[in-house]
Amino acid sequence: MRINFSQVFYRNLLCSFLCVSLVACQNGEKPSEGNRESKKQKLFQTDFKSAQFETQFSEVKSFLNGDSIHHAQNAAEWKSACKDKKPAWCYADAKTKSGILYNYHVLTDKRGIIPLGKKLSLSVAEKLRDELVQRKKDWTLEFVDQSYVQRAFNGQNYNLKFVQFWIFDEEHLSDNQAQIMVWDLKLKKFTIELASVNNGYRIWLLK
Amino acid sequence: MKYFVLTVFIWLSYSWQSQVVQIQIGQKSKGSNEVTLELVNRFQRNYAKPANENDQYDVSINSPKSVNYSLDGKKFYVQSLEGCKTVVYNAQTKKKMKTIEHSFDASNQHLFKDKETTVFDYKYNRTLANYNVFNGKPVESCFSHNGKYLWVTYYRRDYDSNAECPSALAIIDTEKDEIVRVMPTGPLPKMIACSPDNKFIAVTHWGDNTLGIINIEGENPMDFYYHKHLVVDYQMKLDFGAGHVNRDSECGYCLRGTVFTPDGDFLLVGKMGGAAGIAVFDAKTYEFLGTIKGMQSNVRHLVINGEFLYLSANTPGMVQKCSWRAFVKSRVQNEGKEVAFNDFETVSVGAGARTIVTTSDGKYLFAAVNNGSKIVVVQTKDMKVVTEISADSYPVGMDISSDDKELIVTSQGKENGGGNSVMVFKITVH
Repeated sequence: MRINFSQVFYRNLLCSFLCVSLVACQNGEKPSEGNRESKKQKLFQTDFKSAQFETQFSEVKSFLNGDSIHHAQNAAEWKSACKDKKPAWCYADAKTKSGILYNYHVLTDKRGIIPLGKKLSLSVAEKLRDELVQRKKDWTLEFVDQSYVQRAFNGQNYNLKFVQFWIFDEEHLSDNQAQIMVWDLKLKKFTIELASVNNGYRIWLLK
Repeated sequence: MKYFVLTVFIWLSYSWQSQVVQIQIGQKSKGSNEVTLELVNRFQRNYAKPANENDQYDVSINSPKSVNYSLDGKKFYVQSLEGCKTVVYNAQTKKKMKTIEHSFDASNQHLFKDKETTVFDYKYNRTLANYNVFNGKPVESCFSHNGKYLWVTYYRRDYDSNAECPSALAIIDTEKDEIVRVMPTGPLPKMIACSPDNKFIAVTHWGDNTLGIINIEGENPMDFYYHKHLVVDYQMKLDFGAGHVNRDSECGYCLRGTVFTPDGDFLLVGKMGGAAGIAVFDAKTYEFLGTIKGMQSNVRHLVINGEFLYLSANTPGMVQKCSWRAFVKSRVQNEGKEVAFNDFETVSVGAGARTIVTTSDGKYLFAAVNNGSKIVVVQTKDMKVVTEISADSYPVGMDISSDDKELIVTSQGKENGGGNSVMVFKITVH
């Protein structure tokens, strides 16, 4: 039997590439942009003039330098990480392993997780708030149900039907509170509020 | 001279407040084309020969504290506190069906599982041959198991004058209207609430800043058991000595209004005493999350209808409304023993705002105003008073029929006379 080594080489190379791609997709990893994805969490974007958002939330599990962010796998681990002011993430839904919530220590870590231009800053959030006030309730936005989950400082996940995102606001940062933007889609209200840095919220990226 | 004027003013105010009010059958509310109330029936122990046949003399009504319609709407249960009775009436005919006595002696000790006398290590401050021989003073109640069981708290056992010993609650089978079990509680339980998933009963102890959580997942009352003892900040020490103590005011936070959020995830408990506020528990883990402040003081009753939390503030005489989700969010969003929440809509109904109920669609709210001897109706969309009607003195408890056509109000008795009545008002929404 004659073996065509070059054919085998190229066939194996193709298989390897496909396998790596498949695994990367399953893990939600996309090397060029960090590990962010999730078709399930696709947002229904609207026509905000003051802020254009990505259609997906951040799913990054590592800092820009490649270091892993600590995965807090239960309430005790979350509380422990927060007590030590350690950056940590957890799933919004641990059963389906979907949705990533971060404590604020992730956002202030010097290793960084989001390229500068993609950060939702307080000034952008304030412009958006002004725009929404002007438009009154003439805007629409939808999120999948899982987006409503937040992790509280006690390590428990709660779903109170608000969608909340961290704001990168280093200037106004206090030791224990940071700014978040809060969408109350039932009452069509958008607010900027203070929350414990030990809570877990999503990160929404600017385009 | 100015002291004389002041004295006269105080005397007049006191005289005005202490006047006993008793309204007549047929009395109607005034001032609204939208909602009207009319007194159509009454049960009272003040007049043996009332003029109207719908005004029934009933000595089992003795300081009635609260009332609840059965979930099928066919009966209503009146907790006759000083009578140590639960009185059952037919909701349609308004005839008395039964009187359930909360008296325990040698003949009914089988109601106490394993002869239990206490829970959570609460101690008696005296020695008795049998702590389970007593008369219970029923205060509040709630239903579980789709209305099959009615849970009735006892303010205290009759021998415990300072309400510093373990009290008890009765579980009534509403098919037979018989007590099927008596469970011990902490001191001075008042409000009681069933979780939306029918897995837990929360018993709020007015007497020492705590709650008892009972697991009721089974069908057999003898299988129910205490799941957890909850503490709001600190457990009050009860060592009052030999003298009499007014436990209506010597009660720490005086925990009262108790409600589970509709999603079953949180338990809210009003702090009527101290610096006020509403305590919040995670109703999955029963972890105490802390207190929310910012509402009026002296929070008494809590009701959730749809998206909104309503509360009555007794002394200021206010009713407040807010989004219950936003309210709870304020608690889980920030750490600390206390957080503030200020996004309330407020209406004044008059000093002594006690029990509140809402129509099933949440459009109207009724408040029992004790000091002013009246029932006030509030339109909830703008929190404006739309009408009011006088009531027999000292209105305190209240329930509304599931078809929103009748409102029953209990007026507690007092030493100077008055009260001691249960009024049935016809509600008409035009």
